[in-house]
Amino acid sequence: MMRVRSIAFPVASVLILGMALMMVVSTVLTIAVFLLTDPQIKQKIALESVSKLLQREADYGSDGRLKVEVDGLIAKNILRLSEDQPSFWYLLSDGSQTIEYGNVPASVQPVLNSVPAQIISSEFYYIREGQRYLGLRKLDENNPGRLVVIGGVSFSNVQTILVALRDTQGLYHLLAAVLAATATIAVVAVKRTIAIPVAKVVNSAEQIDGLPNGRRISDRDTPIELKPMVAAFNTALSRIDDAFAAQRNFLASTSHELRTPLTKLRIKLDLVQDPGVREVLVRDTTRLASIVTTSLQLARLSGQSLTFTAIDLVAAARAIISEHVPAAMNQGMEIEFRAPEDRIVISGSEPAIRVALDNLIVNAMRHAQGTETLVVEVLHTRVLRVSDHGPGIPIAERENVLKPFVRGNKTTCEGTGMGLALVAQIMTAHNGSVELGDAAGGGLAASLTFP
Amino acid sequence: MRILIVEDDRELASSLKLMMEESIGVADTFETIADAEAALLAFKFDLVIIDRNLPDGDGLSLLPTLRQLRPRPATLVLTALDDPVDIVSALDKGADEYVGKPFEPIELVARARAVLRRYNLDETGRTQFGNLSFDLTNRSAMIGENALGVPRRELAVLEALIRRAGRVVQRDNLEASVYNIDDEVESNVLDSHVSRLRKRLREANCDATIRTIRGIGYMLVLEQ
Repeated sequence: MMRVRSIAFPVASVLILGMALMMVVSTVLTIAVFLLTDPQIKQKIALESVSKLLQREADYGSDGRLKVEVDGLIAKNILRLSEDQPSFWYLLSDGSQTIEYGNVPASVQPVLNSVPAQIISSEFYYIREGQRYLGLRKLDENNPGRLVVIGGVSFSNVQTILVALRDTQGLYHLLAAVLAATATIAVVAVKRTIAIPVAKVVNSAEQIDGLPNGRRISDRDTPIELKPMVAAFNTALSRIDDAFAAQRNFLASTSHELRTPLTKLRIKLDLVQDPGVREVLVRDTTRLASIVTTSLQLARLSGQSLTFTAIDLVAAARAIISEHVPAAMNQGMEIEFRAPEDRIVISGSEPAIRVALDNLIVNAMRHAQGTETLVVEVLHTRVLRVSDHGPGIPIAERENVLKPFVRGNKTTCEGTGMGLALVAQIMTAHNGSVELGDAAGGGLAASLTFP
Repeated sequence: MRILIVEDDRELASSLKLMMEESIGVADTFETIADAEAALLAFKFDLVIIDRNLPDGDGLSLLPTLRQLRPRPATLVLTALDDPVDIVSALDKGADEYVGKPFEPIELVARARAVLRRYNLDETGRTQFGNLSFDLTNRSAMIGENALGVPRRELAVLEALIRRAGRVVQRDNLEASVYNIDDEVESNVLDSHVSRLRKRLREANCDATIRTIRGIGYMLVLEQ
């Protein structure tokens, strides 16, 4: 299985873990502080929590009577925990109705009477069975008529924390929200700061088309961390360009240098007396010459990116074919051109298309020697097709002959093994394709399809 | 016919000289642009064959001198550089024809003859193809010693064909040289002109004939 490596997710996870750790630490610290505080304050916290609970949960029944009906598991447990304590009591009043629970100490009433109604919350102590207890009197802030008086709560530390936690639930919700927001921001921010610049670099890298055209990845807007990567990329590209240029120059100058001696050789061969020997030598020289020509064409084509213009394929094909007619006629062959449409306009490089069609025609003339006609067609589907009545190419070899320096294994074949590869390369540069098929009535049909 | 060859490779130069002398006419060879220029100013040549990479520069630099000569010799540029862009620039500078190295000897001779024929027609108004001769000034055609009666339109067809004898003349170009823009050209009128002309040539025992290149045009060729 492929492992997907992402930068954003690990970073987000680290952030979330960090946040969680901070929360744990702060909780531990809070608990530590809590454990060190005064028992009376702890008791007060417990009283505050339970009184708030009672205030919130007290409501009127369908019969109009005030009652305490607790919903929720935690609230119920807290109330039960309080009620389990024998000293626990409370008094709940809305002015007209009063609920009492437990043993309300007699000393409470005078306290209540002496506290003015403007005081929302007040603490008091009372003595019962020789023990001092903390009591709390509280008016509901939203409903000042409602009074809660409570006392006799003595929770353990853990219980107090749990009870207090319930009150601060909202805080934890807020923390969770902050956590989620941080994670989301982290994912987005990581994406923006890392993934997008990387994607930009990748995008520029993808535009490199294998042509030594000096194209480089721009390091403008690239974050400083990625600059070394871009620089390394560009250095590699320069080296590739240099190597390519060296190879291209070598190919071009070699081909060029070979042409004059080849010309001399070819002319001198006419002086050979024995016609059998002369014919073989002339054929070899012709093949050598065509290798040189194709190499030069290949060097030229791979040395530049093609400039595309609108081309009428019909007119272009007609002009190119015209030039081959005299040579074809010399070998007793007719070239016929068929174009059902007057104009088929494509976008392409005319010199490159010329090289492609030249190669197809020369190939067909060579391989279908002795046959009478060669048909070149421009179909309305933007297909340029050259069909001959020669031996064709076996299906198994068709894919191979489109690769450089492979040719049909017939011994009589004089192909350079580069012509079709060059055609394939030209069509790739046009985003088109080459298809080698069977011509009607036998022979090879080479179709160039333009997009 | 007198031919000037500018080629710095001595062996190739002498082969070219031999080839030209066997098929067209007397040839002189020079190795540098300077020598060739001096010869051109001193003697009259009908055809100049120029190589491009010469010891004292690009052979194309001879073209301005050549253009100023009266009568101007026909020029054929011979080169190992066959970049389409190079070809166009050479033709723009006034070369009449361009042959890439290596070439088939017959091809070079054929091109040289074609250039000379076109040049003759332009410079002297007369040209010859096989036993067919064509005179532009008094608009007549002869087969050997006999005048060939050809109506106006057919003569225009013959002129266009003989100008590019041995090469294809596209149908559109042929129509353009035979008819005015105002003429209504029916699709098969050109074909009937051509077939009548073809018949005339055959009946007069002309050794040139008009071949139909299907889908492209016509070509004047010597009958084998």
